[in-house]
Amino acid sequence: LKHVVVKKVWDINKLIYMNNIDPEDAVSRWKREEEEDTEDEEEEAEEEGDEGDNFFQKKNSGDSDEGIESNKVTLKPSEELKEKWSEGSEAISELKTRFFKSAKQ
Amino acid sequence: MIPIVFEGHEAFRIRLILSTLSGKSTRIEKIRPDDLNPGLKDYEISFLRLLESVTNGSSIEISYTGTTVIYRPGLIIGGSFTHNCPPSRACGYFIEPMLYLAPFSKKKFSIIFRGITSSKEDGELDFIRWGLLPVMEKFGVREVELHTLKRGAPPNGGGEVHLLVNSLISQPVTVHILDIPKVSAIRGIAYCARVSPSVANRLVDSARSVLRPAGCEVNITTDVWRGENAGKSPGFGLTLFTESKNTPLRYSVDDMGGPGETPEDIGERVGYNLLELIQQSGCLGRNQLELAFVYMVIGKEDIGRIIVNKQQIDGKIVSLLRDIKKVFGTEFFFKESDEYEGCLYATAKGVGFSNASKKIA
Repeated sequence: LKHVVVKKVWDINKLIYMNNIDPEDAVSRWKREEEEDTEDEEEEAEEEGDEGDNFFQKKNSGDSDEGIESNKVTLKPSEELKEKWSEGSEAISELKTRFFKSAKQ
Repeated sequence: MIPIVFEGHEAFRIRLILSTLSGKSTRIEKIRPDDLNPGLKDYEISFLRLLESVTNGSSIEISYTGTTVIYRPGLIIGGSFTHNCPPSRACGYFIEPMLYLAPFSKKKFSIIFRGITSSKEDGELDFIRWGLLPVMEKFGVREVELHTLKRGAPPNGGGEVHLLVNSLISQPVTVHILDIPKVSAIRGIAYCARVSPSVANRLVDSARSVLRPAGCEVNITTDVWRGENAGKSPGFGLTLFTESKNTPLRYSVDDMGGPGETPEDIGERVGYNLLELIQQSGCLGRNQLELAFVYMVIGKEDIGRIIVNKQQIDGKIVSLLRDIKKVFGTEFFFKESDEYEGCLYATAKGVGFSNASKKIA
């Protein structure tokens, strides 16, 4: 039985309503689960998840104004996105499937 | 009646809105208990006053330290009056929650908001108009208008906005949005007040160059404010939104110029973030989900479905879903989509809420 990997399966529908788990924590647990399914991205994304956690904790312990109530999307700095959305990048060609082809431009 | 108890200052507005819609009393405790200035902030008090004005018979009790609020909602009656927003938050902070209540009121909402019209934290007016009003339309609330009478950039503000909600309905319609709409064009509004009109053009140019690789039609309007209507402080900002052929829904992102930022910075940032938002959205952007979820819950006793992106499920949405369950007892159910990769169908049964003030015909 040694080769059997025991893995906790998280169902998002249950996680959402488990009040004993912090909302941020619930999401990161679920996302980690998702990542294990798509193994190749696992490591990178897990790191990301942790970073997200730290980021949020810092926010909480700091000035309470940081947790300011707003449903505005947090804009990422241009430098972070410049490469991702440059001409001919993978993300752009993927995104093009979301557009109608237009004659202009 | 035993009030529903919430803790903390987070989601202050939405909790009070849920409480008003459900007619259940709420007690919010531990509002910034360890802060240097404990208790409610001035804008939260201002929001409570606004709630008091649009309802009839509400009672609000605030504890001596301001860290606990007990709110017993009355009926939503609406009416026309002016609300002076404190300089600490922009009008968007007050307008957004009104969109949840206004369609279910006894009388029409016609409120003039005075103060700062845009800030980094709160939705830009153009975002509310192009991002949120179409969501309302999808749920059957058609006649909503938001007129910008005066722009008012921080810190001095001096802006004026008129929110007018003409449709009064008894409940939102049940929606089934199972497809992700294709974007046919990108539009936008670049505004500037009390600065050179060329600033608006610079915003447009930089946003266009960022969006060019997408190969989509881009059409950004400039909106230059002069004289008294431009407010008391200089400022500029950009809102970008998409257009689709078969649905009124649009993805929308906005930002304004902060200290030391050039129009190019803003143009680029909003442009890139619009692409990012389109990529990470289902049928709605993350900034429109809250409104849609609440409308789904207060809909008819029927199951509504919308498609969301997995990346949109974050801590704040989970807290909102928990709050909804606490107040209405309704749970959302998420089902994996076979058609779209990385997407979920969010399903919820409406509670059969009905506008209590609407006359029975």
